Parts: sequence; structure tokens; C-alpha cells
Amino acid sequence: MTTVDPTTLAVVRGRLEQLVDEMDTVFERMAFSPVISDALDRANGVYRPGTGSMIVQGERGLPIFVGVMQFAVRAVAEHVESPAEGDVYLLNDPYLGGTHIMDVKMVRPFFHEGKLLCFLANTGHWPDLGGRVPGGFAAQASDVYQEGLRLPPVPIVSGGVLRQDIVDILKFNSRIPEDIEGDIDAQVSALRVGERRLAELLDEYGVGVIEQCWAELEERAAREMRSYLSELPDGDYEFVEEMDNDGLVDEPLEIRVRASVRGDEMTVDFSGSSPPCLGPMNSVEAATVSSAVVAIKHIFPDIALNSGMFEPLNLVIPEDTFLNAAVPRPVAGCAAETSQRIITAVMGALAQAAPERVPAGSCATINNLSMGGQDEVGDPYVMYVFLGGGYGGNRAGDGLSNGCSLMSSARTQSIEVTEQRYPVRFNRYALREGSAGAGRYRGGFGVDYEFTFTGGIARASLLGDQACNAPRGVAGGLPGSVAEPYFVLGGEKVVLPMRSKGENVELRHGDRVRLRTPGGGGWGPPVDRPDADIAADVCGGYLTEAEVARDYQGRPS
Amino acid sequence: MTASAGVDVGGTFTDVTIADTTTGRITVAKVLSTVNQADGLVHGLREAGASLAELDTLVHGTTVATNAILERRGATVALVTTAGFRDVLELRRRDRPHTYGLTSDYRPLAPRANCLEVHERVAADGTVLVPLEPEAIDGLAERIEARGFEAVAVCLLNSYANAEPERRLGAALRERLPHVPISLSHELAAEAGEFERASTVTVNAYVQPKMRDYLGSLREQMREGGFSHEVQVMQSSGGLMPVSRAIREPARTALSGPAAGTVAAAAIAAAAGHPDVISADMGGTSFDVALIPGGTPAVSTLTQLDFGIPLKLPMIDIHTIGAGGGSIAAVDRGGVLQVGPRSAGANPGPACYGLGGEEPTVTDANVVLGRLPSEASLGTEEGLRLDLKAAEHAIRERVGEPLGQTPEEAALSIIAVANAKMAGTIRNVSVDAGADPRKFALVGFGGAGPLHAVELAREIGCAHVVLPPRPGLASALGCLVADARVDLTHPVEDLAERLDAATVEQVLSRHARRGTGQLRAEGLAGEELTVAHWAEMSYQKQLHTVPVELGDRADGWTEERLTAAFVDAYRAHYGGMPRSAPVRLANLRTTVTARRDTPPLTVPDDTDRREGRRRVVFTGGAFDTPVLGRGAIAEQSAREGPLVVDQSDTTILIPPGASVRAHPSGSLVVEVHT
Repeated sequence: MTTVDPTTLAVVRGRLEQLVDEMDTVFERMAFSPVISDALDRANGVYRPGTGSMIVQGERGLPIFVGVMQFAVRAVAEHVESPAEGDVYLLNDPYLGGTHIMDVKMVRPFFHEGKLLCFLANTGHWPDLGGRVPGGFAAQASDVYQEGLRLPPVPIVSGGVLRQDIVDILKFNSRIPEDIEGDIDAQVSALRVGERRLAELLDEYGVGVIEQCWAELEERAAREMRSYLSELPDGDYEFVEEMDNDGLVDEPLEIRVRASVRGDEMTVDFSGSSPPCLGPMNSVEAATVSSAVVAIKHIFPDIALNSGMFEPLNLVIPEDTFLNAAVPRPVAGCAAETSQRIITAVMGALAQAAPERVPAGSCATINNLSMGGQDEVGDPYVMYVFLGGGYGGNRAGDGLSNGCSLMSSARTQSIEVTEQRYPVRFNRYALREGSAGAGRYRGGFGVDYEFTFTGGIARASLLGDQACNAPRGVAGGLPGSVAEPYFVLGGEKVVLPMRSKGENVELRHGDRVRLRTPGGGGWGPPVDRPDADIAADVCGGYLTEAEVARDYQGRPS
Repeated sequence: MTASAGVDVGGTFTDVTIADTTTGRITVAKVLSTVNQADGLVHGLREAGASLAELDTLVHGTTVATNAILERRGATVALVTTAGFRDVLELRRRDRPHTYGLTSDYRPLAPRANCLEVHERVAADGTVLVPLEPEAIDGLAERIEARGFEAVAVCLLNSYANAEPERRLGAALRERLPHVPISLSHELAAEAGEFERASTVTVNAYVQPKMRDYLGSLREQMREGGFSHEVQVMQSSGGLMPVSRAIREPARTALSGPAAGTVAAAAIAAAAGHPDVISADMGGTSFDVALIPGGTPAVSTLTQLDFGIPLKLPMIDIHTIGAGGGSIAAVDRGGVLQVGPRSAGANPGPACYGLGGEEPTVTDANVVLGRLPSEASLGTEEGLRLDLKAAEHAIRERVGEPLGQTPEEAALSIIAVANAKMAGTIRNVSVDAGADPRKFALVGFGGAGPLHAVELAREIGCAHVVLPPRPGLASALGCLVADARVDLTHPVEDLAERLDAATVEQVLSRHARRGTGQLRAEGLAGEELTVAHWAEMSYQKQLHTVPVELGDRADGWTEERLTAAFVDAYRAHYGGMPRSAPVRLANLRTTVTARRDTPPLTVPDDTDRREGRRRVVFTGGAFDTPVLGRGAIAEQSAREGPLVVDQSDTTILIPPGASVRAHPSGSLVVEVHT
């Protein structure tokens, strides 16, 4: 095989990146669900036939899907006997290359001169596909059947025609059927745009050159990953993250990581992590793989999104752990909660190898609150709230306050729009004072969020974590703070039995919900923080004199 | 003689254009910008031969506001919010600067201690839940006075639904603190979304004292020189406004210069017979693209000035990427060439500047390929010379050797990657608006635009390229041709089926009245006022709206007509099939424009620099290429590429296969022949 010239390689890579960016744009613009259009919970990419290896995926896509999509495409390649031109397959099965039920993938085979050349695929978070609670985040589900409709690869488009029978099955199984058709339209349109652009690229360069570029880019991405890994000192780095509980049994869940760096390769071994759990905090293999890789990309952000990045990595995720769960273990918490803690666990291990490159621990829970019932005039509604928290301090500076989930780039809705749509009135949306871990570079602040329910009656469910273990400090920095969610029901403060998780809390008019989210850990000893920075924090209203006295030896007077 | 002047003040240069209002003849000057931009501006006007007393208009594109924000050198601002919500700027919308990597240096324009709360509360439907008491206002005014804030921004929760408490608070503060500028969120952006509104009003307050001082001093200097009119300032929306409004609402100038450039591109291309164009402005550090269908630049209503600093005001929809002459080329760890987004800027600048830059840039690649004249000066006042050897060395070392290419091959690679990136941006901008870029002509301007425009047009499939007479002075020219403009917005946020034509008519007629009244009061209403209405609509569940043109009629917008207009716009935008879902009307917008009478402008020929031949390398090989002065391109007969036109503010590259001819309007029009 002749090698492709470097100019063509660089240009083709740029064109592929633009192609998936365009797919991302079309999808988010047309989607009906705010979780896709506003929170950008979606991803688009191009994948190889057979293995499903990622050729390219959009940088603006949700990070959790970095590894996941390869598994989903492979599942289609394996399950569908003869994918045909003009077909689009839909699937959401968590165990067949998925995350949770709500992440619905579509896979479109791409043919060139009658031969299957690659797959275009995307995924979007649909707001509801049934299950025991609206939105699917059931904190106390004990199997996957309680989490919603599970779908193997099914043809949603056959020979270019939308299968209305399949659409109807989906609509009949959703509490919000009117969103479904809009989202399908958006998702299919994004695939169509990708197909058109890819065809143009093939016309311009020819299939031979493009296939050479794919092979070459894979090899280059591997080389790039190796180059970064070789900068980490050889050694075995271990870290244990502890999650609060699984929502049903009040026992901590351990994520045990052992990162072994040898030259330009690394093994990330999760052996010894807690066994599969009864409640919905299990992760599936695809999501665990993604999380581990996203942790590495958070440390080395320039690595290209191409399957070659996986090549120097050896991920060991034993089936007897809750990080590689099988049917019918419930998995609703995997994409929002467990995945984030896998990220902080891997970063915690690598912080020992290269503290100067790794931030201290960050808020790694989104405090997912779903609430449904009837508003003042009796109209039904379902409201979702997810929150951010403080990131860890790092060598580049203090941690960011109210950063988004580590595995997503989703923004939250404004207070004004939330009040417009739902029977709630906010009392406060503020930095959570005192939550930032002290350090040479301090952590970012968590959030203090409280609203009063102004409707008749509602039931609320919470699926969060990190109420027991605060984001850690690094290199002598102090930890941040734990999550503190609670309700005020009939004037009484009520902490849920599982603290961060619970279902069907009954709210009446005037009851309150308060969510205080974790602040990030500090980086480096607080004693090293320059007086000027401490003074600026006091003047700026971020730290009190008392906090300075306690955490920074009272400087400056 | 009467004359009007358009002046664009950038970081390095102040560009001046003066048009004789009877003949349309233009004189130009380019001088160095000064610390007090007013000094350079007045100097530039004199340099261009203007007598200030004979000028009847001065329109000004300014970067004072933008720079104050990007460099964080604005005023000490108090942000006043409803109790419980003072951290609105700190919290943003829960995000991070980059998808990958968890670091950030975000600092809000008003630090926490400068964010003050006032006890009051309005509900989402506008009901007052907690009234704003006089004691609360007194206490707040005292605190602001005691702390000596230079400006105040007020953003009360839900003030978009009921502005009365915010208005009352503003009036009281303005009375109590007559010397402190007070900005109110509902006056700037009366739309739902407390973070975007707070950010917009804080930006306004943050730049206000600087803009007031600057524009005040400019006004004074102009007056002293005998100028007897009000100075006009370019808004980001592409219309001009008087200094009095610019001092009150300086946030509207955040993209003043680029907006002026886009307006110029629209006018120049239309004059050259191409109303549907895409403007491609390539400078030293960035590449700005805007879509101009039918001669009118597309407008967006939300822009990010920086991470965590959104601005919710109408602005020309300009997309910017880090690809300019100074963009750095480097080979990444995987051995793949990358160009940008890092830039060498002006200092140290490209390696060929000889100012200490060691990394190769796009400009270096152009020098190595003979596209830029290495032996000549760059045409700036300081007479910078381009050093071919330094460019070659940097490219060989950092790109050629790692890729196994000769410096010339490597330079071609750099251009190819940079062009692919820019072409991608153009495609994305078009797709975003549902437009097919192949149906547009490309207008190449900015110092580096004409060097890349024809190759870019080839990549995206545009048939024509329009090259303005003075591509380096486009923003100043835009100031000459822009119309005065007022933008008004009314948030509706309701289903079309719940609206009736009378409600819509009421809003739109009020807009038209207010806009017309304002332009009259400002003395800007000439003979011709144009009113254009838009509705921002989507299906009920969608977040992203599609702009629906409603024309100049306020009445008759029944649900059926609105919905039909939306469905047409939606189909044009997405090409998708319309659905049976309910339709939402998010906002009603109106633009009132006062047309300026601008005679057809004739730009003087650039003083021809040299004619001759030089070796220029194109993708297809090296050619002994004729170098011409602009005057050598005739209207009657097209010249075939390869061809280079050197002028003092830019170099134009016509690759083999393309042909160029002059248009009577002064532009060059290139047939790309893809």
C-alpha cells in the first residue's frame, strides 16, 4: 500500500471533523427535546464496518459517547445480517454498546459502489421511553425492565422510508410521544447531511485515498496517545473512589483503579471494584471504557477522537464488578453518576503520576432531580433539574465554579425559563459559600439551589451521589465539600434515607427542595497560596476572614 | 464641497475614508492608532485631506468596548440583582470553556463583592410578589455611593415579564447618583434568561465610562476642528447610531468594526452585481465569515464575547475562527499538520517579519510560495520587509523535515490545511442558515483575504469572487455606506394558536412608532425610513428558532398566516418536512432603518507599485507569473490566471484557470472556473 501524502492526510482529517460538526449542528438545531437542543446531549460520528472503530467523532459531542458509539456500531454490524443502502437502524440496549435506556443510537450503513464502506451513526438522549419514573432516572429500580423500553437494532428507516410502525411503538411507550417524531426527524436528518458530505469527499479524493487516510489517521492517533503516555513516569498508581450507595442498599460502592504505566502503554485495571449492585448505579462495559478514555483526554485534551487512541491502552473491566454489568442489572445512574466517578478515579490515580498535569478532584454528580405532577390549573408536567459544581484547583489556576458534568457539556436551563414552565419559585441560586477546597490553587465553588413548590401536589425523585465523599485535594490541597441535598416538607428538614437518592417524595404547596452541590478540591498546600490571592478572595467576597484563619493560617491580616 | 467620513479604528491602524457627497469620489488614509483613539482619528482625517468644518457626517467603527472586555480593563461595576441571585455571573449556565480539559481562568466582569442584592421579587407572569420598598432603594443607593462604583448594572429577576420595579429602581438611582451611569437590563434585552440578560447589562456598564470619556473627547476634538454635526458610531447590527445613544448603550458596539466590514462587503458586492454573497475577512489572527443573502447580512441575537460573557443584542452573525496570516503551523505528535488556532499575532509575528518569531505561519507559507512579494515592504507605514530566508527556515525546520517535504511542498501543505479550515467554516455558516454556499459569491477582504479568496471559492464551489477596490479598508468603507438603525425586540413566548392578529399588530406598530420616533429625535430620519418586521419562530418543542420575515406590514398576522410563513421559512432553512406540531412564536423583532443617500462611491486607484513577473507556486506547480498593478485589469477584457496583483493594502492571487476583470463599480470580479 502506498502511503497517503501528508497534505491530503491533514486536509482529509479537517474535512472529516467538519462533517461531524455539521451533523452535530443539524441534530441540535432540529431536535424537539431540550436535552438535545439546549443541553447538547448528543454525538455524531463515522465508524468502520466490522469492528465499528471510530474514524472520527465530533469534538462538540457528549464525551461519554467517545467509546460507546464504537460498541453500538459493532452491535449493528453483528446483529444485522445484511444492512442495506437506505436503511437506518435504531437501538438503545445498554448492554449492546450503550449507556442508559434514554440514549438512543441510530446507525446508517454507507455504501460506495455497492460495497459497505463505513457507518454513520449518532446518539441522542430522548426524554422518556417509559419505565417506572418519568425520564427514566429511577433511583430505586432493581432491574433494567423498570427503566424503560429496551431495543435491539431495529430498522427505523427501511430503503429510505421511515417505518411508521416502529415510530408508533416508540410513541406508545413514551410519556412525551409528541417529542419522539421531532427527535427522530432531527437524528435522521443529521445522518443524511453526513452521508451527503461523505459522498462529496469520496468524489473529490476517491475511495482509495480516503480509506488510506482512515488507516493512517488511526495509526497517527495511536502514535499521539503513545507520545503522551510516555511522558508519564512508569509505575503503578492506585486510587479508590467511593460512591454513596446504589439507591437500594445503603453500602458504599468502590471503584478501584490501578493504572500501570509501562513506557508508552498503559493498563487501567478496575479489578477489585464492588460487585454488580442491586440498584441502578451499575455501569456497562461501553460506558466504563468511555469514562476511562475521557479521563485521559481531560488530561491530554489535544488527542484526536479516533479509535487509534485506544490502541496503547489496555482496559481491564472484570464482569464481576458493577462497572461491567450484564442483563438485567439496572443502569440508569451509569451515564450521569457512575461514569463521572470513574473519571475522577482514573484522574486520581494519574494525579500521582503527574500531579502538575492533573486537576484536584471535582464535583462529579449532577444531582438529577425529576419532579412531576399537576400545576396550579391541573395540567400535567415533568420537570428535570441537573446541577454543576466546583472543579478542582490545578496548576493553571483555581478551579471553575459551577462546571458542568465531567462527561458532558450540557448547560442548565435558566431560572426564569424554569419558573415560566413549572410550578416552582426559586429562593436562591448562588455560589455555595465555604465549599471550595483550600490550596495553592483553590477549588471552584459548588452551587446552592433552592426552590419552593407552588403547585398542588408533586412527586420528586433524586438520583445523585457524592454526599459522603468530597472531591479530594491533590499535592497537599484540601478536599472540597460533599453534596447536601434535602427537602423541607411541612416546615421540617428531611434528608433522604439514601441521602443522595430517593423516589416519589411527595411535595405539597410551599414545600422546598434544596440542593447544595460539591465544591472542588484544592491543589498544592494552602500555605503556598500567595497573600495577594488570598486578599483578592476576601475582597472579592469569595472567602471570609474566618475561613482564611482556618484554612490558610490566618494570612493576610 | 461637503463630505462624509468613515473611520475604522483597529488595534494597529486607523483607516480613514472620505467621500465627496456630490461626486462620490473617495480619498483614503491609513495612520497608526493612538492611545486615545480620538487623536489618531482626527489626525487621520486631516491626513486624508479633510477639513473638519466641511464634513457633514462622521461614522466611526470602534474597538474601545471590545478591547475593554477582552483585556478586562473596564470600569468597577456594581451589579444589582434580586436577593438570592447575585451570583448569576459566577454561575453562568453550568459549562466549561472546552469540552476536554477542566481548566479555566474565568473571572466575571463584576467580582462577587460588587454584586449587590435588593429585596424585591416579581413572578414569571409579572406579578409583584415582594414589592420594592423605598427604604431598599435608599439603602442600595447609599451602598453604591459609599463604595464609589464607576457604573451600575441592574438585572432584576423576571424583569422581562414586568419591568416596573427595575425601571423604578433605575430612575431612583439615576436621580440619586447623577454622575454614575446606570444600565437597566430590560432596556437592552427584554428577554427571558437571567444570565444572558445580566451579562449583557454588565458588559454595557463595564465599558460605559470608557466609552463616555472616549466619545466625549472625540466629540470635543471634532467640534474644536469645526465639525458641527453629531458623530455617528457603528453598531454590531450593521447600522449606525449617534454618540448620544452609543454612550448610553455602548454594548451595541461590541462588534463595531467587523460589522462595518460586512456592511461594506454587502454594498460593494451588490454594486458589482452580486447581492447573494458570503463575506470572508481574513486578517492577521482571525478569519471572519458572514452570510449575506439578498444583500442583507444575517443577524443573530446572541454572541459569546468570551467564555462566560454572552451578549444578547442584535449583531451581524459573524463567525470567527483562529485562521489568519499569523496562524501557526505545527506538526502534532501523531505527525499530522495543524494550522492554528494559535497565532503569532503581530509581535513576534510570522518568522518572515524578522521580529523574533520562530514558528512558521500562513504568511510565511505565502512568502515561500512567492504569493507575497518577499523583496518588497508590506506596505505599512513602518515599512516592514518580508524575509524569505527566515520564512523558509522556519517552514523547513518545523514542518518540512517532520513531514519529509521540501519547504515549498510544506508551504503548499500549510496553505491547503488553512484553506480547508476556512472553507469548512464557510460551509458550516451556510448550513447553519440552511443556505447552499455554491449559490453565493465570495467577497474576499482584509489584508489576507484576497490572497486566499479564489482558492477558497474553488473549495466550496462558488463561481465568483468579488474583490473590493481597497480590501484593507473595508470596515472604514462600511462606515460610509451604513444606514442609521434601531432594533427593537418584544418577547412573546407563546403558541401561535394563542395569539391573534390584533396582539401582533399592537406590538409591531408600537415598535415601528418607537423606532421612527427615536431616529427622528436623533435627527437621523432622512427622507426614507424602512420598517422591517421579523418573527422568531419554531415548533413548540424546539429551542432554536427560525427567523421569519414579516415585511413592513404590522396588521393581518393571523395564526394561519404566521404559521404558513413559518413553515415556508422552516422548509427553506432545514429542507426538512414540516410537521403537524404546534408552532411557537418566541420574539417579535423590528428594525427601523433610515437610509443614507450615498452616491456611488469611486475609489481611487492604488498607486501602482510595480509590474513585472515573479515565480509563484500554485497547487498545480510553479509558474512564472505576471505581477500587475490594479489599474492594469480592464473592464473590457478578462485576464487569465496565473496572475498576481500587488497593491499597498493587499495582494490578490488569481490562480491558473481563473480569470479576472474589473467592474465599473471599482471591484474586481473573478470567474473561478471550478
